[in-house]
Amino acid sequence: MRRRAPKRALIVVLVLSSLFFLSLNLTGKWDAGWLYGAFLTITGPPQKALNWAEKKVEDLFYSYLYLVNLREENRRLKEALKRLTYERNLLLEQVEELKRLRRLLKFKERTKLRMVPAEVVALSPEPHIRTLVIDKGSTDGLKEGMPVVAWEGVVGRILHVGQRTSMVLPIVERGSAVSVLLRSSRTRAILEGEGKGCRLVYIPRDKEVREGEGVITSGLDGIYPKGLPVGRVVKVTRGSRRFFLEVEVAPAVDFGKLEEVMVLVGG
Amino acid sequence: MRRALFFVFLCWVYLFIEGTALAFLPWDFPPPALAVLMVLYAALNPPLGPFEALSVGLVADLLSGAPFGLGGLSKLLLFLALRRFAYGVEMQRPLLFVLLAFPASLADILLQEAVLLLGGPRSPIDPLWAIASSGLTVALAWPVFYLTRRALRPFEGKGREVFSGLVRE
Repeated sequence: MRRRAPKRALIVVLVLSSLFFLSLNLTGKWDAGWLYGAFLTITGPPQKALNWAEKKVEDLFYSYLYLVNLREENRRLKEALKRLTYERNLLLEQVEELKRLRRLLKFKERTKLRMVPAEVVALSPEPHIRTLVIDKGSTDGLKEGMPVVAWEGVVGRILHVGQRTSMVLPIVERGSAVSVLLRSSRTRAILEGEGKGCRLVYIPRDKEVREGEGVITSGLDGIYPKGLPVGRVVKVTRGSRRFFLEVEVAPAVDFGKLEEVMVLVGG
Repeated sequence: MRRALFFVFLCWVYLFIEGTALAFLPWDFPPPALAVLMVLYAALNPPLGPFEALSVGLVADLLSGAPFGLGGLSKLLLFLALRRFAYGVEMQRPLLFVLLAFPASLADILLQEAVLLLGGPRSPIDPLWAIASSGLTVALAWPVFYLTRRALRPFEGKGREVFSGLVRE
């Protein structure tokens, strides 16, 4: 037996076809959303079943080997803390808003949103992209682009929708962008994901940005409603040769402990 | 054909279990590149060929939410490079499989990053993250090799010679 290279014509066809699909997809000329949706629909039920089984094993382990009551109470308190943190963030934003509204002597009605609670059932198995899979899909009224939040703040947006599961692009993922406002100074910026954290871009050097300042959604991107907490500024670098500030932001949501989320499905 | 379909299905099962298990691990836990291991397996085990490698990449794209075709292209190029590298050596040895897992995983990440950079500027991947992911890929290389070989045993002696790179004399 001797070896020879695989047929070149076939390889050329395969490379060209993958390049063709990729370029169509990246330039937006072909929307592969339906393909992801179909795949999520097929993958959804076994994924939920496996997740359920894994959760049961985990629950069994923790609930019976460790102190049941303590764990339950801890969970309840953590939930309460998350809820209170969320409410505090909302209130802080409302105070700021109220101040401005009082100055303007106007009243602006806040949008009422319906929330669909969901659980994270899987993460992306590929190292170069971090996405989440949640256990709600088109049958629950979810659509592509809908914002996903947790009690602490913004998680991301729906990337693809299957029948009973959906894929979420988190704000920390590279390539993700959110239109935001700095809570105190009301400076507008774009929040970009960096993999582990986020950064603010397009803030002119002459703007005042303080470490610890809250970052909220501006509502200008048409995806996230205004006033949702996104994170807080952790580092500001003012390079002498740069037009814009370099601002690092720690997300409000602890993605390491993210189990339940809510999808904002509109009024 | 059945072997190819089963191989891609097996890859889907691996990635599917990995994705579900990752939901129980910390967010910072780097996922091992099981799809790369499957491409490596295909490259070192004719008659599995480029079509299977491309399919593995596309399945990975669909499960991860990456742009459709990105993984397909990178896995196909990786397959071709590995097949060329393995030309003339004893291909089906587990040790070779484990040794190649680390560079293959890193090469796949770099290929995908390079393709994405062509589409516009973006933050680079954390090198430590990429290295840790590749390290975990090595840790899982032997179990994946063993399981895959066991699973494909019923298909031994069957396959398409056109993709195999083998010509009988």
